[in-house]
Amino acid sequence: MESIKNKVAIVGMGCTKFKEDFEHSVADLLLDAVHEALADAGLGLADINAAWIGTLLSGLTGGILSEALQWDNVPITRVENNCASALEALRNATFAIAAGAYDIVLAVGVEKCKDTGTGSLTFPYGYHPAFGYMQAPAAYASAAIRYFDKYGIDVEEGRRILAQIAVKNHHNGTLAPKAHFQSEITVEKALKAPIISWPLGLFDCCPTTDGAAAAILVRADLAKNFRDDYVLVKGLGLAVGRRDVYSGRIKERENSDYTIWNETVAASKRAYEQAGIKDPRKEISVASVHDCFTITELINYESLGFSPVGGAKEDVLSGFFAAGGGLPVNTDGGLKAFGHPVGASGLRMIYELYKQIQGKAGARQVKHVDLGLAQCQGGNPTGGFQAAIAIVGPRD
Amino acid sequence: MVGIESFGAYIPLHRLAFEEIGKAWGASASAKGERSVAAEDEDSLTMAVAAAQECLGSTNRALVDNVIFASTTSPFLEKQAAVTVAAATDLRTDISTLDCSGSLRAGTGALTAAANSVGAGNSKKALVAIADCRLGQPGTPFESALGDGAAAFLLGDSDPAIRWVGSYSVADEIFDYWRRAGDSYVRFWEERFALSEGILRIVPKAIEDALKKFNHKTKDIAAFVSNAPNERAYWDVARKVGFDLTKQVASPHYSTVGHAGAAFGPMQLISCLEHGKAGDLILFANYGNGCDVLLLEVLRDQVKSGKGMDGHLASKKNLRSYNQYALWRGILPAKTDRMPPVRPAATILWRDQDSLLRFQGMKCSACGHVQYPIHRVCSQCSKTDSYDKVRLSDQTATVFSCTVDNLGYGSGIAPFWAIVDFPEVRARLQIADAELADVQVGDTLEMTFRKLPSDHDVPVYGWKARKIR
Repeated sequence: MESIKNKVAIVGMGCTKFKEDFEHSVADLLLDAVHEALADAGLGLADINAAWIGTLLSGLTGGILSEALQWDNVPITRVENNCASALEALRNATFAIAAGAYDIVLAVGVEKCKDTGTGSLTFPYGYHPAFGYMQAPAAYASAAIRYFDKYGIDVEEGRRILAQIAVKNHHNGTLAPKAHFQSEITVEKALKAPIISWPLGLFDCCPTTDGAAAAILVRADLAKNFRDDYVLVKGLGLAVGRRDVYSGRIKERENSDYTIWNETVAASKRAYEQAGIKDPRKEISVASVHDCFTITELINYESLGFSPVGGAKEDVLSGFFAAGGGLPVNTDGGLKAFGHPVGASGLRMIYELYKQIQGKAGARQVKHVDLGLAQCQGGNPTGGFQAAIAIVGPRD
Repeated sequence: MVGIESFGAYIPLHRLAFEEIGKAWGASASAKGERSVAAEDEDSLTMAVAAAQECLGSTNRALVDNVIFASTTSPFLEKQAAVTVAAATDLRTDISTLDCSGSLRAGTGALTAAANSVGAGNSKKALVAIADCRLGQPGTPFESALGDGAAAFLLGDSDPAIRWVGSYSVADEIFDYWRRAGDSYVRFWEERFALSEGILRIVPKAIEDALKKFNHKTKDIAAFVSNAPNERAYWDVARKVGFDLTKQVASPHYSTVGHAGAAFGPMQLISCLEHGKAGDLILFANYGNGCDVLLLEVLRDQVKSGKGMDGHLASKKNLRSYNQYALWRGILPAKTDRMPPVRPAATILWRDQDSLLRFQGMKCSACGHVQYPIHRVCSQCSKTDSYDKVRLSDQTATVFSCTVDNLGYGSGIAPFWAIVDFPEVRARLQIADAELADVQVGDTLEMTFRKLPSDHDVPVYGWKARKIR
């Protein structure tokens, strides 16, 4: 197996303002994200050879993109891997270029969560009618309870640690103009908020958000024709566990105690190998990780090898992952503050890393950025995840 | 000898104090007492399964040839409930099944049919599960008077604990209490008519004729059990027959359970059997458009089967408000925005019924690994299509993790989810009858058959866990 490292470059990106976007349609969001990416790359739609669109719930077939762009007779593929759908679009687009099938392609992610009439995600199909309905808050809360229990953390202390992650991400969100939330919170405010699924409160949960993000990818040897500060794909990883919502089967005790994200461990291992990363804690400059819940981010520190297993608490308390820390995580606010339009989130993460690598991240710019890591995981801790990793870095 | 080999009772955990009902309707004073209330995920079918599970206990279920479900509140007009009881209790499929309905003596009709079936050699063992969950018009005394519950009996001819001596029935046409198809609440004619020309006219005469048939006198009866619309009428019937009210009449559960419809008399009977002595003759007169009179002889002292009536009476939790009852019973509308958005696929419910209704997991025939729900592939050794089924419904499990999802899908209530460890397998289940503070990691849970959330025309039934009662 060859590594994907340095074969494909990102030369343009776009991202809509993430929010509860009642006035814009799926097509509006796609149009705005793609036009920004094209303008960023200095390209027109006619230059694009093929496209991949990731979405969970906002429409079927590649036709949602061709309809939005009024763009006929192009090879467009819709991909879906739950919360990893956008990274899946990026991954498939990357492989198509690496295979030599195309020179210039588009990867897009989109989600319109606020057309469902509820405050949470509403899945219209596929769930097992009897076994399938444990939703994400309860599943992640169950994992939090196990994590606290395993490491002897009192629940109130555990909630305080998680609240610090929410406080950090909200702070980072105030520095990202396109983030859903632009407000600071305090640990006390987070702890006093209504409980969604014990021990997780309102501020432990990401919002439901509308948004889209897009990337233009080209063969690495062509990248300098488009811009000097292009960004290279350094490694990709994907690991898919069992999708329990269809069957009701959960991770067995032989395989998991829900305190480490197995699929993320497996996906990151593959991506690190491709990128030649031995010590991610030292070698990754900035990371955008899945934080659908604060406990997701906490356990991700350990699953991605940023913190030793069982040691994330110390890194949270020392501010290691905060802006200015040893490894800033979710510098744009993450899912928590930037928002989580499911099918768009992976490319929103790449958008942040791309800006950070180019030195264009404004008030939230991290110093000396080399490698950036994006990680998404769909699914839930008690069942299986769809975990995707993308590592990107500057041109050599 | 035909008789009752075992029995089981079920009273829902929740009780509603008469005082709370009074408060809801602005009453200045209320009688002392309470009624049982089926939870939002319970109905006559789930309660029948609960009583049947207790009744079957460790009985060899392969010997059951006949299942009768009796209720005036079956969740279905068309769709048999007895087959669901049979599936949930993991019985064979080459059995006869029947639903009895239409009258509060549906249960005694079912018992008689079961006894006849065993007596005629058509069934080795016959299971009768009787349950009711009726509604009194809100704001009327009927609302306090009614309760929810179930009773189940296993009839057979191998060493029964109670001998089936005989039965006697009369039919009587009257509109005293009734519900038309589509009625939610029990209707009735003026009580003076309903009592004097109904139960008080029919039951004493039926008992007199039955005793003649059985060749016994009232003084031979150790305990008399009946079913009357209220406690006053219950004692009036016994008095009119000539029983010694202090010695011969079983104390009824009007102010602890309430009138549980077709299950009321059978539940009184179970109370009576639990305290019976060998040699006792028990006379059970069950009223409802006529009367069934059963004569039973207790063959063993204090026959017990699981928690029984005593255990279920002692295990209870009071509802905080009338509104909770009204929400659960559908008197107030449920919050439909928290319902699963998809019409449950009848195809999937049908395909997966072994895991879903029979609560069977699989044990790999190659490596012995147990999985739930059933999967064609063993997760540990990948052996495919080679496994034995393992029933989990009568096992206990311990809580590995649990939480209440306040925004999760539930029938108007927040679902309480748990990851639980059975001795051989981990599973994800909802916890019934509990709030978050009631359950800790490490607690032991038992299994309970319940309705699962569905806002659509396809009801979903399955197993949940609950704290051991």
